[in-house]
Parts: sequence; structure tokens; C-alpha cells
Amino acid sequence: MQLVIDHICQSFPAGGGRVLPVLEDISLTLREEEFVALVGPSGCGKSTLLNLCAGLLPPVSGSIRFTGDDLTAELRVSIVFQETGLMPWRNVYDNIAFGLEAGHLLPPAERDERIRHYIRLTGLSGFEKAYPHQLSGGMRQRVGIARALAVRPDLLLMDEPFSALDAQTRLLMQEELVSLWEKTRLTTLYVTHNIREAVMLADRVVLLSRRPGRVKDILEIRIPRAERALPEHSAEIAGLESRIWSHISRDAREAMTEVQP
Amino acid sequence: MKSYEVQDNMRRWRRRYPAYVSLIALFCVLALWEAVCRSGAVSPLFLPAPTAILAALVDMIADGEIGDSLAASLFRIAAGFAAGAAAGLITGLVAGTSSLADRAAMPIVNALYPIPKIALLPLFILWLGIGELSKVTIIAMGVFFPIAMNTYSGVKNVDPLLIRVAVSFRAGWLFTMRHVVLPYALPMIFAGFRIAAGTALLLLVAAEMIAADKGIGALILHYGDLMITDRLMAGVIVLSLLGLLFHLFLTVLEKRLIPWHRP
Ligand SMILES: Nc1ncnc2c1ncn2[C@@H]1O[C@H](COP(=O)(O)OP(=O)(O)OP(=O)(O)O)[C@@H](O)[C@H]1O
Ligand SMILES: [Mg+2]
Repeated sequence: MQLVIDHICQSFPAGGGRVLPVLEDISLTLREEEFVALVGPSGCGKSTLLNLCAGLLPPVSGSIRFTGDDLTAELRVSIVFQETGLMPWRNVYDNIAFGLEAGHLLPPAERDERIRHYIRLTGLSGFEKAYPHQLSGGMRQRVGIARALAVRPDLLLMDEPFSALDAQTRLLMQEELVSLWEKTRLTTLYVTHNIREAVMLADRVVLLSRRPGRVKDILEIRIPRAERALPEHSAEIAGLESRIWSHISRDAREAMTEVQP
Repeated sequence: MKSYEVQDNMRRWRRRYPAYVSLIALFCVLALWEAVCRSGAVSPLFLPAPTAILAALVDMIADGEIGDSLAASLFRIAAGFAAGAAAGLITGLVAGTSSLADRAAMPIVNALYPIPKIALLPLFILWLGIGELSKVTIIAMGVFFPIAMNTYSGVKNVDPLLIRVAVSFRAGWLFTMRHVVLPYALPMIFAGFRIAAGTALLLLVAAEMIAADKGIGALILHYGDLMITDRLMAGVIVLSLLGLLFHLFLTVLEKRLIPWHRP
């Protein structure tokens, strides 16, 4: 199964009859079991692209489709939302159960085992009964991740899932995600601001320009994921990071000083 | 060496008094009232003493008068509230989520909302007769509007992110209504219930004063005409207790249905 993003343009009405162009001619193909990181300055349309991929927003022009020989009708797409989007009236356990219930995915008897598995995996054991307002920002993000994984999606879209975590937990969660991903090998589109994170996790890093977002460059990372933290690769990793950084920094500076339309 | 200890600067905002303070205050007011009446400064015809009202109340309970009136009133308010609340809830939910229903129904609802409902009683009596139905209907009307309006705005304000979450997990319309929209709107809906409870009580008494021979409203009017003030006041006390009971019931229900509400 591949996800083909085909000449996508997106804009939003900006009031007064004007439009705000957000994405411009984005074409990108996610291969089966590929982990693609999307990096770009704030406001360049990363979240918008994720929403388009999940069918939560109709594209202004272009199309997004799945291709493959063994396509089933019921492809499952999960999103880990930037703002988590947990239901305040559901505790941790029930929030993780939400996707299973909504999609009628497992017989209720088998749900419990599945949910407990992902509670353990995301380190939320002991907090099953806690409501979202009783959790820290990082724990809330982990609930969002568990909820997305619990439905065993064919395509996983993650929108800065670790942004509310402290640096140490973030590192742990990245390792967690790597080992999890090696086990499940989900096709994944992963939005991040964090260059190091992109380089540690992704098979390919897609660099978007500032708004309106265009694909500026695509970097392949061929070092096996599990070995990227080893010292013998540190020079290569640093090279990749500085390449991304030089792309991003000029754009980011311009975006910061740009007069808003 | 001088020292300056850090003070608890939040003290005056944090101070909590125990619950019995409320009882003491109530007792003080009653005692003052009693004293004024005993002193003979006002005629018992205009302001009977609390003890006299209590005695009248006990008499009226003993001879079954309160029981009969209360039963009639409770039936009317319960039937009217249930009918109005159900209709209001459904209207608000549908109008809040369906653009068609919104366009079609909300202008009409908004136009009818400001009419003081008691003004419609003569019309309802004409249509439905002087019996129970016209009184139950007027209460249902009064309850319908605040609940419909509050449900509508609660539903309209649902966080669009949560709707997107539901859609992304392929939730159906009914599932999304039941598990996202309704819980989100519930606090707003309860606020509507509280407003409606006040309106229902008001309309109950007004309708009973205009067109009933039984019920707490009729009882109060009856003793007002006869200038038996202590029995009149006893009727008012029953109304106050009825209102309190309503409030308490809603509070308990709200606590059970909305456990995620922050303290
Ligand atoms: N529903 C909307 N209506 C109007 N404008 C929108 C809407 N959604 C997004 N935008 C605009 O589109 C642009 C891109 O938004 P988007 O959320 O995709 O950015 P992003 O790349 O995810 O940024 P960040 O890294 O800060 O999350 C922004 O300028 C935003 O103002
Ligand atoms: Mg974003």
C-alpha cells in the first residue's frame, strides 16, 4: 500500500474575499512501511497536509489516494493530533478505547486486552482511571498516541506527538517509537519541528518551505534506525542535521519577520 | 538582625466557614422576625410569626390539605417538565447539528422565545379546556425554550477538534452525537434545566391561580382572598421547599452525569 499525494494545493479564505495560500503543489509518495518526517517552519501547512491525508479537509486542487495490489476497502488512518483532542469526560482507559468503539473494531471482550497492551506500552499503567485534566501535557500526548495505535492503522499520521514532552522523556519516547515501529512497521507521516527527531526516526525527511509550503528538498537516511545513536554514525548524522538546519533557518527567520497578510 | 516572615497573602480569598454558619444565620433572621411579631409592632394579619406559620403548616399537613394540593401541583409540574424537556432537548440537538433544521427551526424558536408564556394560557384554555392539559402544556412551553436554546448553543460550541477526532476514527453520526456532542454540551444543558426549573415553578403557580381549584397556587390565592395570612405563608413555604428540592435533584443528577467536571 502506498499513499500518493498528487499535486495538492490548499488555501483558506482570509477574509475580505482574499485567500491565504497554504500549500502549493505538493507531490509526495509514501511507500509501504516507510517512515517519512515532514519538517518545516511554523505555519507552512504541515497540520493542514495531515488533515488532507486523513480526509478531514477537501483539497482545493490535486488528489490524495492509496494505491496497491492488496488494497482492502476499509483502510484505517489514525492521527495523533497536535492538540491531543482527548475527550475530557473519558478517563485514560476510555479515551484509548474510543477508536475501537467508534469503528466497532473488536468484540468488546477482546478490547480490554488490546487497550491494556497499549497502556503498558505508553507507560500509563496506574493512570487508567485518570481524566485528561489530571494528566501532564506529556501524558496526554501519550494517551493520544495509544489511542491512535490501538486501532492498528494502515497509515499513521503524527502531528508533533512529542512536543509537550521534556527533553529526556522525549528521547525515551523516541526510542520507544523506534522499537515499536520496528515491530509494527506502519506507514507513517510524522510532523516535527525537531530536526534531531526527524533524523533519528525517519527513512526520508521532507523539507517544506515557509508558507505557502512547497517541497524544497527530500533527504534519504540510509543508516539503520537502531544504529543511528552509535558514535560511528555521528558525523553523518550531524551532516544531515546541519543540511536540514541550513534549509530551515533562513526560512524560519524570514517567516518570523514577515508582515502577516 | 531583622526578619520578615512571608505572609499568607491569599488568606482572605481562601477563607472557608463551616456549614453551620448558614444555619445560625437562618436562625437569627427567624428569631428577629419572631421578635418583631411578638412585640406587636405589626399586625399578624400582615406578617404572621414564624411559629404561627409553622403551626398553620402542621395543621394543613394533618388535615390533608397540603398533601392534596401538592399532589396536584407535582403532577402538573412533573408532566409539563418532562414533556417540555424532552422536546427541548431533541429540538436543540437536531437544530445544533443539522444545518437544515437550524435554518428552518431556529428563527421560529427565536421569535417565540420572548413571549411571556403565561399570556398564552387563555388561548390554551380555549383550545384544550380548563382541565389539566392546558396547565401542563403551558409549563411544557415554558420549559421547552430555555432547554432548547441552551442545548442548541451547547451543541454549537462543541470543539471541532473533537468532531475531527471522531470522524478520523470513522465514528458514525449517532455515535458522534452520543459520545462527543452530547457529553460536551451536557454542562450547558444542565444550565438550561436550572433556568427551566424556575420558569416551571412560576408558570405552575400562575396557571393555578388563574384556572384551578386545587394546587399550591390555588391554595395561596384562596387564603389570600380570605385574608388568612399564616396559611397563605405556609403555602409559600411549601413552594420554596419544592424549589429547593428541584435544585437538589438537579445537583445530584449533574454530579452523577458529569463526573469529569473540574472542582
Ligand atoms: N481552518 C483554517 N482556516 C483558515 N486558515 C487556516 C485554517 N487552518 C490553518 N490555517 C492557516 O493555514 C496556515 C498553515 O496552518 P497549519 O496548522 O497547517 O500550520 P503548521 O505547519 O502545522 O504550523 P505549526 O508548526 O505551527 O503547527 C496557517 O497560516 C493558518 O493560519
Ligand atoms: Mg501544526
